Parts: sequence; C-alpha cells; structure tokens
Amino acid sequence: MHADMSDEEILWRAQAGAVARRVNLGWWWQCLAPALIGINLAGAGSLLLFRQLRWPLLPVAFILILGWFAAGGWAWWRGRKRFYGVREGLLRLETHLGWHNVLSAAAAGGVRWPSVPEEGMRVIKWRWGQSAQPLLASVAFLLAGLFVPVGPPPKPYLPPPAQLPLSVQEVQKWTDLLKDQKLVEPAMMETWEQRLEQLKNKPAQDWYGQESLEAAESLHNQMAKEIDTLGKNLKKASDTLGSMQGLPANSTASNDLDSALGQQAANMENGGLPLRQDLDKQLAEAKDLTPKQLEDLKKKLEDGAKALGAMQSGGVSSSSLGQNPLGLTSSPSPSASFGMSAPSTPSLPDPYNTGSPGSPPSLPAPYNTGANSPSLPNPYSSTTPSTPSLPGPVSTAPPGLPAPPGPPGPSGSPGSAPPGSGPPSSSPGSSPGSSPGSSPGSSSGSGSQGSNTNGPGQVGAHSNSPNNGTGSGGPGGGGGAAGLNYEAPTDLRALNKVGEVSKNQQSPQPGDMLGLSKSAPPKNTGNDEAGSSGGAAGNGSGGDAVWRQELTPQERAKLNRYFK
Amino acid sequence: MDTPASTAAAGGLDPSLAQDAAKTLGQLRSAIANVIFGQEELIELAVTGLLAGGHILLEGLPGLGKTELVKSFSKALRLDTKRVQFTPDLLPGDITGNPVLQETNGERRFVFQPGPVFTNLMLADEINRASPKTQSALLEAMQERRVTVLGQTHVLPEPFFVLATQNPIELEGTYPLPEAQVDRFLFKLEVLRAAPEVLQKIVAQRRLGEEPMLTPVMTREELLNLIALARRVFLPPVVAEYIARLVNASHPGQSQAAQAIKYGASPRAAIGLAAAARARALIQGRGYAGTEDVQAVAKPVLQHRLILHYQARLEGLTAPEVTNRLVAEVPVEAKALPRTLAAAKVS
Repeated sequence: MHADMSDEEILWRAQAGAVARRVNLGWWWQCLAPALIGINLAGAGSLLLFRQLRWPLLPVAFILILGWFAAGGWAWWRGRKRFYGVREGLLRLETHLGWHNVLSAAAAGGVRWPSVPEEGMRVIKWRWGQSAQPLLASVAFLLAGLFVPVGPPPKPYLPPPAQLPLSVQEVQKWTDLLKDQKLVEPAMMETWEQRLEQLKNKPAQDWYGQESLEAAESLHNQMAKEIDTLGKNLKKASDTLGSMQGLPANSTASNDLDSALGQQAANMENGGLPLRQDLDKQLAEAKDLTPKQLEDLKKKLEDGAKALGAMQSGGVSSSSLGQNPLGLTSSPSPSASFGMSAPSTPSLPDPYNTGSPGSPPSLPAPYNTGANSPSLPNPYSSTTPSTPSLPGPVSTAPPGLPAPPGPPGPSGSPGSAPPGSGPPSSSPGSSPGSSPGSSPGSSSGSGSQGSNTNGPGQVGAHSNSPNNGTGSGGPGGGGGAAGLNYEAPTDLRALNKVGEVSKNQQSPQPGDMLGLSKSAPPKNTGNDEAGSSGGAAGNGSGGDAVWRQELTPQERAKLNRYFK
Repeated sequence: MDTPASTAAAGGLDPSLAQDAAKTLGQLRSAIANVIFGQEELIELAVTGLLAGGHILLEGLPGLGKTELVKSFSKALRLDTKRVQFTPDLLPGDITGNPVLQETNGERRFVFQPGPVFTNLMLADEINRASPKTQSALLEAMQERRVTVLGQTHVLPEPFFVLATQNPIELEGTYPLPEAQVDRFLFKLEVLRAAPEVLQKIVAQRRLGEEPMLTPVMTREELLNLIALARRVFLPPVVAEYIARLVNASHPGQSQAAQAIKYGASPRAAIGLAAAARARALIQGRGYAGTEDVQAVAKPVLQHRLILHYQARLEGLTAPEVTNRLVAEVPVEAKALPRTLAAAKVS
C-alpha cells in the first residue's frame, strides 16, 4: 500500500494517525472515567469491608481488575462512533494549520500532497485537569480502601441494658446491708466490694454475656453461702450466749458453752465473711464478760442473725418476683432465711428453711423468726410481738397437695424430724408438725427440740417436700414449675392437660408449655401473701440462674407479651 | 500559516490555471470597484455568483448603486445586456417575448419575437414591483435557461445571468417574491448604505447624468472559460459533508439555530453552496474548495432560502442572523474533540 504513496502522503497520514489515536484515547478515557470512578469507589468500599471482616483481599483485587477491563471494553464500545480516522485527523491537521482543506483534497486525490512542515505540529493538547481528575479520584478511593483504618467487625447493636443482672443487684444489696450492720470485718468487705465493682465496671453491653452472668452468679452464690454461714454462726453464738446467761459461772455447763463459743468465734473468724474482730474477741472471751455485756453481745448477735436472714429473704424475693415475667421459679438465695420466714421460696434444703411467706404458716423451725409469716413458737424464735405465731395445724396448704407427714420427732410432733444431735431444748416445740396437707414450703412441723440447729424437726421444716410446690428445687432445680401454680390460666389450654410440659424449661421455645396446672390454687386468705407464692423468688442457681438472667429486659418484655 | 502551493492531482485543477483565473478575476473586481465605491465585498460576492453561473438578487433602497453594479458588470464583461423595469402592469410576454402575427408572401403566421430575457445579462430592476404572474415568467428562464412560448422552446444565450434588484418589501407597491422564485437566485446580496468617506468619494468623482467610464476586462468567451474552470475546482469530501450538514441543520429540529426556521434550505441551496465555494476558491487562486469558502458564501446563499417562523420574525430575528448562527453552530469537523483534549493554538 505504501508503495503507491509519496513520502509526503506517508508522513501526513502518519501525522493524522497520531492525531486520531490521541483523540480516540481521549474519547475512550472520557467514556471510561465515570465507570472507572464508580468501579473504584465500589472497590474501595469492598476493600474496607473485606478488611474489616478480615477476609482476604485477593478476590476484591481480582474483581477490580476484571471490572477495569470490562469498563475499558465498554468505554471503547461506547466511544467508537466518535473515534477519529485518518480523514478526521487530516481535517484536524489542516484546520490547525489553516490550510483550507488541502490535506483533505490531497487525500481525496484532488491535489498533490503538500510538503510536511519542518516544525513539529502539536495539533491537540491534553486538558490535564479534566483528564487526571478521574484517575486521581480512583487512586484516592483505592488508597482509602486499602489504608483507612478499620475496626473489628461491628457487633450487632444491642441497646445497653437498663439495669444490672439480678445477681449483681442482690450482691450489691447484700454488701450494702452488711456494711450497715457492721458485723463483718471491713477489710474483707472491701474484697467483696472489689469483686462486685469488677462486675459492675464491665461495659453495659456485656452485663448479660455468658461470662459475666456466670461470674456474677458465682459471686452471688459465694456471698449467699457466706451470709448463710455467718447467719447460722451468729444464731448459734447468740443461742449459746443465751444459754450461758442462766448458768452459774465456772460450772461445767458454762465451761462447755464457753468452749463452744470459742469454737464458734474461731469459725466466724475464718469464714469468707469473718466477724468483726472486736466482736469476735468478745465472743471468744465471753466468760469474762459481765452479764450486761453478755446481754448486749447476745442482742447484737441476734440482731445480726435476724438482719442477715431478712437480708436474703426480703430483698431477693421482691426483686426476683418483679423481674420474672413468667413467674418461673428462680431461687437466688442459696438458702432461705435462717428460720425466718421469707417471701421467697426456700430453695436450699437447709434446716433453717421454713418456707416462704406465700406458704401457709410454717411449722416451728429453730430459727424461724416469723418476720413475715406467722410461725409457730419455737425456742429459738425471736418472734416479735407483731408477728403472731400460729399453731402448727394452721397449715393452709391447698387441697390436693398433701404433704406426707414427717416422722414423729422427739417432741411428739408427728411430722418432725428424728431427734437431732443437739441438746434438747426446753422449748416444747409447740408445732405439732402434723399438718397433713402441708402448704408449699411449710410442710409439717418441726418439733424441733433444743437449740441445735441441726436438730430434730428441721427436716420436717424443710420445704423440699413433694408437696411443697414452691420451687424447692434448690440451686440446681430452680424451683421447677411451681411458680405457675398461681398464674392465671393461659391460652395454652393447659387447664385440662396434664403432663405435657416442656422438658427443657431452661430454654423454652415459644409455644412450649412451661407448666401446667389443672386449676389455680385457691388464694390464701390467711396471713400469707399471694404475691409471694410459689417461691418464684427462690434464688436459683446454676442453669436456672443462667436461664433467668441471660434474657435482657427487652427479651423478657417480649416473652411476657407473647405469653399474655 | 499560508496555504501551501499545491499541485494538481489527476482529477484536480491545475494550480497555475487557478492562479491565472484569480488574476483575471481580480482585475474584474478592481474595474468594478472603480465605479462602485466602497462595496468591495458586494463586488466579490457578485463576481463569485457570476462565476458560479448563478443569478443574483440585489436588495436595497433606491439609489444605492444596484443598477449601476449590473451595468458595470455588463460593460466590464462585454456582455449583451438588457434591462427590464418591472412594473405592476408588466406582463410575462413582455419579458419572455411574444408571438407576433406576420404576413409574408400572403401567408400569415406567428413569429416569435424574443423578449428581453434573450440576453447574457438581464437586469430585472425592481423585480418585486411586478405581479407574481410576471415574476413567475422568469422561473423557467432562470432555472433551465430556456423559454417556452406557444409550445416552442427557445434556448437562451450563454452565459445567461439575471441580476435582479428589489426594494425592501416594506415599501409600497411591492409584491414579495414567491419562494420558488427566490430559490432560483443563487445569491441574495444586500446593498448597504455607503459610509461617509465613500459618499465623499462618490460626490467628488461622479457627475449627475454622466455615465462612469469602465474599461472592459474580459470577453464573453473568457468568462465562459472561467465559469468552466470554476466548475472544475475540486471539492473534497469533507467539504461536501460540511455543506450537507449545514443545509441539514437549517431544517427545524436539526439544530439550535433552526428553532427559528419554518422551512429550511433546499438541495438546490446545497448545490449552490458547493458552486459558490468552488467559485470563491478560484477567485482566491485555489484548485480546491474548503470549508472556509463554504462559510464565506453561506450567508448570501442561504439567507433568502430560509423561511422564518412568524414568532421569530416578531422577535426581530432576520434570516441573515439565523444563517450566521447556523454557520457558528455547525462545526467543520463532524466529530468533536473530547473534553479531555483541546485544540492547540497555532504558534
């Protein structure tokens, strides 16, 4: 082809071709620019996302390169109609030179090709401002996608819980009360407070995490156990002091009691909640105290035991009942009060547990102080005048829930426990303990004789009887379905069904039956309070606690609405 | 940068011929410019029109030198010239000629008596004062350069030009030329009032009632050669494409400027543009036409062919203005540059 061309024609056509290529590049770039910016913007977003998710960036790079090629092809296809050829290049050249279309005429064979001027021809020039903008923007996007710092993957947003978990709240309450009582050694109280603060100082979003709940539950149980132990020891010491008061000094009995007191003081000194040192010292040297000092000390210990009992019973139950939308049993308290009737369901089979306030009057229990529920007189009871003791048979257990009478105790109480090992109390053990259909948590009377806390009748007083029905499962059981007994019949048509209860109450699914009741038990019109029925306030532990406390308030509210 | 001296290719015009023609045509323009003062552009366009073989419509107020221009061409070209003063009572036969009953040897027969149209250069003075019927009598003569009377066709002499003058239609006693008639004119040239300096020159050199002296420049045959030479001027495809785009853009909807146009230019206008561009290229001594030539003749070729909207006329738009807008709007390059590129300035 070039053989037929003159040198001028070859040169001019080459010049025109160069112009055309530059123009075509310009058109291609102009068509490509928006697509390139879009692709790189999307690529930058993808890079950020992949980096945040810790995914490999190679797929993004691959897709990005693929996108560039595709956009390049698309831009070529889109701009091809505007592309220049040699003819347009020549026209551009002659327009630039002002040569009246001589090149076009020469290309068409009208005239001969003119000679190429010696000076270089710069027909068109790049507008770098407009040309470079898309490129710079693309590079900026990609650099931003590669180097902008990204955080860890975002956690699903959970609104911070409105309140601390129940166990933490209770530990806080107990801590405050213990500090008010000034029974415990302050240094140890600080240790407990530090552990509590560690839980409280966690981010609110983590309060209901599994780890936090377990830690809180552990602390809660530990403190409850220590409170329980301290309460028992205080009560024992108080009783011993009471016994010492009537005995002549240096008598054998007095000496025995003194040594027992020393032992008890040692026990209290070594516990997780050690008795304050001055009190402990007084206790250890009780023999040397004057009657007046003895009386004061006894009073102080009694008050302390009472306060500890009330601490666990009152505070826990109210909160737990209020927080439990399903009315399911949870027993935050590892043990019920020390013989003091508490609104919560006794959940631990301890000898001092005499039932919940929702239950019918409990039979005499050694430490039943009858704070909230009428109790039968017992020698250790520090019942206040405002809490009338009721005779044992006044059990108002709902019909149909008969409790098997306990074995006769030494006091002749038919339902009392076998004789304990402690010294017999002079207290007659007025509770007959023969309540045939014992109410939840009350069961039969204790017939407890003597001050031995492990003494007879305590078993009978324990509420963990088959008839209890008040969430007596203890830490592991969490009270079971008894809490539903006082619920109104639901829409689950459960009134006539028996036995089709969800086996897994700790992780119920919507629609699962959590409990069945043929009918709601009659409201106790006696001294017991319906609001505390069922022992729902039982201080469950372990799985029960987790089940209860892993739900956020919002989740509980939703479940509540669902079951309504 | 000057246009390089090109040489003719196989199908092109020899540049030396073009240069010679340009020289002769320059003499013609100078001769006429010695009579018509201060109208160099008008003279060049008139020469261009004649060289393209087209008819020219001169529009202007009385006394501006329209008739004088035509008479000057007649003298300079040594052409047979006839003048017809168009009046409202002028009949078509008064232009084309009438059959006359003659008796020869006792036999009576009609003999065609040629009218003033049978000449080389016809001056149709104040053409818009005649009735449309009479104006239309010129249609066949101008387009086909022949006249048919009573079934007999009579060929007009070569060359045949109609140089018509008309007064602005706002004047009393005028009839607007029909579109078909107007389209026959290659150019419509506006004769403008002379500047004071020109007027001073006119006053100093001209006497009332005295004909100016003008030396003939070329013969009829030489003019025909030049016209033939102009037709051989090469029109590159890019120029033809430009003409096509320009004419197409004059139609409504095809361009921004055409929004004021009701009817655009006809293909005859495109042909006229090409012919006028060739003639202009020859006048400038080039054997090929360019887009600049097209742009230079676009206004006289297109302005009388564009029918504007009534609303556009009310807004004060005129056909010359719209033509200028068209030329400005339609780029020489069919394909534009991208935004990322700019045409470099000529150093």
